[in-house]
Amino acid sequence: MLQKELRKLIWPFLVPSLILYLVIGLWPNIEAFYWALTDYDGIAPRQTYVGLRNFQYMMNDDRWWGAVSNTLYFAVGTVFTLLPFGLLFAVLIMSVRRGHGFFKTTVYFPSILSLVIVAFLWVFILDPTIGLLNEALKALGLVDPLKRLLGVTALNWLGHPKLAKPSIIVVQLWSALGFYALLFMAGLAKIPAEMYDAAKIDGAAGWSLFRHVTWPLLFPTTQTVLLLLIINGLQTFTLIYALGGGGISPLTQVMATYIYRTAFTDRRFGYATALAALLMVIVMAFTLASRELTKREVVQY
Amino acid sequence: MATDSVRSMELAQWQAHQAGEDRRRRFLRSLPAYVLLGTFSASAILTFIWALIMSLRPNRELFTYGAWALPKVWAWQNYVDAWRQMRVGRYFLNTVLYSGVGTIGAVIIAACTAYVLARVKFRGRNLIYYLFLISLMIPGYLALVPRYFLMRNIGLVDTYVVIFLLAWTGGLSFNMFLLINFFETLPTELEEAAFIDGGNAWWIFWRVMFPLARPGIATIAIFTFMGQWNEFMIPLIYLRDPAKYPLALGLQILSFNATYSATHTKLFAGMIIFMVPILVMYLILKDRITEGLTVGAIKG
Repeated sequence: MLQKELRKLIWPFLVPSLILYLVIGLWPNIEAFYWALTDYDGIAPRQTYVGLRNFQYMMNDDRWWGAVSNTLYFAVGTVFTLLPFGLLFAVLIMSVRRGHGFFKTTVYFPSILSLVIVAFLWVFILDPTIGLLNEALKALGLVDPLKRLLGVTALNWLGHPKLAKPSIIVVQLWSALGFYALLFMAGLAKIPAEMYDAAKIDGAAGWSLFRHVTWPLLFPTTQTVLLLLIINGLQTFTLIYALGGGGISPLTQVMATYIYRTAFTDRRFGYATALAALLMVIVMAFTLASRELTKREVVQY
Repeated sequence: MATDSVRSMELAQWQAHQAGEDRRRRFLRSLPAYVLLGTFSASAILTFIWALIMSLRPNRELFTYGAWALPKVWAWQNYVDAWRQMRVGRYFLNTVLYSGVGTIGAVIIAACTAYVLARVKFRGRNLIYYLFLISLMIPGYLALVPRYFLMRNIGLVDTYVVIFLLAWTGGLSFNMFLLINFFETLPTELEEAAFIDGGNAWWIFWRVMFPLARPGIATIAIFTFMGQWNEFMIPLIYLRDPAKYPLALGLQILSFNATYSATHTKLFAGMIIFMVPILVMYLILKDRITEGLTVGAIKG
């Protein structure tokens, strides 16, 4: 009886959102596989079917492969910085006796900011002439030693081929550290205190406590964080776009910004969709690979 | 008697001394933790304070005294100029509109869909469930071009409507699965009781189930709102008319142009206007946000 009454909700509640989802959410994804095989400038009455020509062109598109390699650099770079630092900050915030709430609030603060703001602030921090960082280094007399150490002629953080990518990884670290630390903290909070007590009775402390209790029990969280880092890293757009201002140099161009530019600046909509299809394949391949590589017995407790 | 009390005093002193020693050792051991956490926290707070100070400096001071100096003259006018001349006021109102309508619509659509899929039994329910699941597995860029032309063909490019529609459908699958999980934790007896009391389906949902799902709905609402407030790519693709820009897009374009026109410190004022509503919201709802984040992010 109740079910019969509730079924009245199918039309007003489910059907409209299902139609919206099918038309706006799902259908364009399916249509994309046809778009990838066409050529279109956005002006002609309709697309021209070109078969696999977009994919042939892609093979020799050096700027695209430059963007692919930059994206992989950033994705790997963020995995190797955000994963360990996220975990470290989570452990530290959980372990301090005072200021737990304060650190949690302030460490997450950069993550609530729009990436447009993050980029704007860091452009001013890293500006070679009037930037906060270089002015501070100048005052401390560290400019020349640092130049020598890094082997560069000017500390142009976002413009120098040697410095641009590592600088962007630092910006990403600043902006996302709080988010990943919080994820790790949620995982840590789920580990029952008895596990620690039992291990302490067995004589574990410090590093061995972390190594033999925290790390294995936290592993499902680590897997999730790794997956999120890879998926987000491969699709990064706003930060790179906003840091680039008007034009993104080939030094920092990533797949997503190159796809956007191919479509909406160069007006090669079919080719852009072919590139997006490859991006999808890369994301899925990395997702599967990270699942496979981190597959292991989940510790039950 | 006397020696006893002396002895117990000595014991107490010794214990106090030991406790102090313990505290000192604990403090020394956690010192690196405080230094590291403190450094990062300071970088977050000081960056904000620095941006606040920059927003109150006349632009010419930036080039004469550099980025570290305090204002010689406090330029409150920066905020007025940003709000009026740089159209930040307009962008602000647009952002409020997009985030408000976008969030309310997204939450209602997700809640209604989730309720039906969680509680109503009908043929094809599983199929629909899996259809919604598909979009969680496809990276967003694949549909970029086809979706743009879909919107262009129905004449929605450069309208408010396209921003609303994409806000409502963008996170639909994800929000819906969160709420399905939430509805499934509520006992069916509640609906049965409401039904026996003579409630119709409409009443059962809006008066009984929707209010009970409030904690889940609030989490979705907060994250959708923050996401919409900061949304950049959709306006970048779909909007042409600067009068329709939200803060994220308007300020990004302004900051690019600022390289040629000397308006840096006014832009800082604009950025502060952009971030303060989210900051206030964060400080008020921080526990809910930091908890909800983990519900939201762990999607497996």
